[in-house]
Amino acid sequence: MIHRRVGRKLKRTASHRKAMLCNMASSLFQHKKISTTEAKAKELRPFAEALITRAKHALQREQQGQLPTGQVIDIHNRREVYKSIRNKGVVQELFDTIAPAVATRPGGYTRIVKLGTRRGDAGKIAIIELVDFAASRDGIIRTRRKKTTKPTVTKSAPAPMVVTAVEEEVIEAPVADVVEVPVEVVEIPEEIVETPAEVEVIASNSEDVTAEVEITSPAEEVIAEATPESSEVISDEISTDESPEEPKAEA
Amino acid sequence: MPNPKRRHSKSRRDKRRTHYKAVAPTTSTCPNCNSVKLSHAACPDCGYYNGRKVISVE
Ligand SMILES: [Zn+2]
Repeated sequence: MIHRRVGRKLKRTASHRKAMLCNMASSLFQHKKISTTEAKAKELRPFAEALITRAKHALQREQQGQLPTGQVIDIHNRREVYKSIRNKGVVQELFDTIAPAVATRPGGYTRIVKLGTRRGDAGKIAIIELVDFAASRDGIIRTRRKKTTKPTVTKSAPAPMVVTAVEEEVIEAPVADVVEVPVEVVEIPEEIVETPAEVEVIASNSEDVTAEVEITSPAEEVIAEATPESSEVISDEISTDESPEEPKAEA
Repeated sequence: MPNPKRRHSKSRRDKRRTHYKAVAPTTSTCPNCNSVKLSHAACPDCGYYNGRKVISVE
C-alpha cells in the first residue's frame, strides 16, 4: 500500500538525492534553462521554486526596510539559500537578477516542456526553464476543440450558461483567434473569484499576450455571475505548467 | 510445492505471446509546422511547443 508517500527516490540515497537537486537548482539559476529527465525535472521544480520564493521574500524585506538595523541586504536568507546553492555567484544571481524578475509572479516560476525520448536508453527528456527568462510566444498556438473544453465547463460551477453560449458560437465559426477568448473565460473565474482586485495581475501572468487584451470585458461578466457562489469555488491550481491544452487526437 | 506436470510446447508459448503487442505512441500534428509529433511534447522538427520555441533545431 503506497499512501501519502510523496516524491521520487530517483534510485539515490537521501544525501545523493539532495546533493543532486542542489546541483541541478544551481545549474537552473545559472543557465535559466536546463535539459534533464522528466522525473528529475518534476522533482526539481518544487525544490527550486522554494529557493526562488525565499529570494523573492528577501527582496521584499529589503525594499520595505524590514531588516535588522544596520543591514542593507537580507544576509540571513542568503546564507540559508547558500546551504543549497554552494556557489556565491549563483546565489547573487538568484537574489539580484531572478528575484526582481519574478517579484510579481505568485509562484510557478518554472516551466517543464517534454522533449521526447533520448537515444540509448529511451529515457524521457524534458527541459525545465525559468518562465520569466524564457522565449516569448511567437509561434502558432493550438486552439481548443469542443471535446477538451467541455470537462472544464462542467467543473466550473459559476456561470455555466454564459460559457456554453459562447462556446457554441465558437464551434460554428472556426476562426483561430475567436476560439482563444472563451477558453480563457472558462479558466479565469476559478482563479480570481476570491480576489477580484488581482484580475490584472493574473491576466498578465497567464502569458497569453494575444488573449490578455480581450479578456477584460468577458471576465468581468463572469465575475458578476460568479460572486454568489464565490465561497465555494477555491482554486488550487496555480501552476504555470500549461493545462492540457493539446487536444487528444480524435479517436 | 505444486509443479507443472507437462512441458509447454513452443506452440503454446508462442500462442500466449500473440497478445504481446507494441502500442504506437499517441501523436498529434504540430500547429506550427504541421509535422507529426508526440502529444504534449515539443516538436522535434521546429522546436516549438505551445507557440514558444523551446529548443533550437538545426
Ligand atoms: Zn513543428
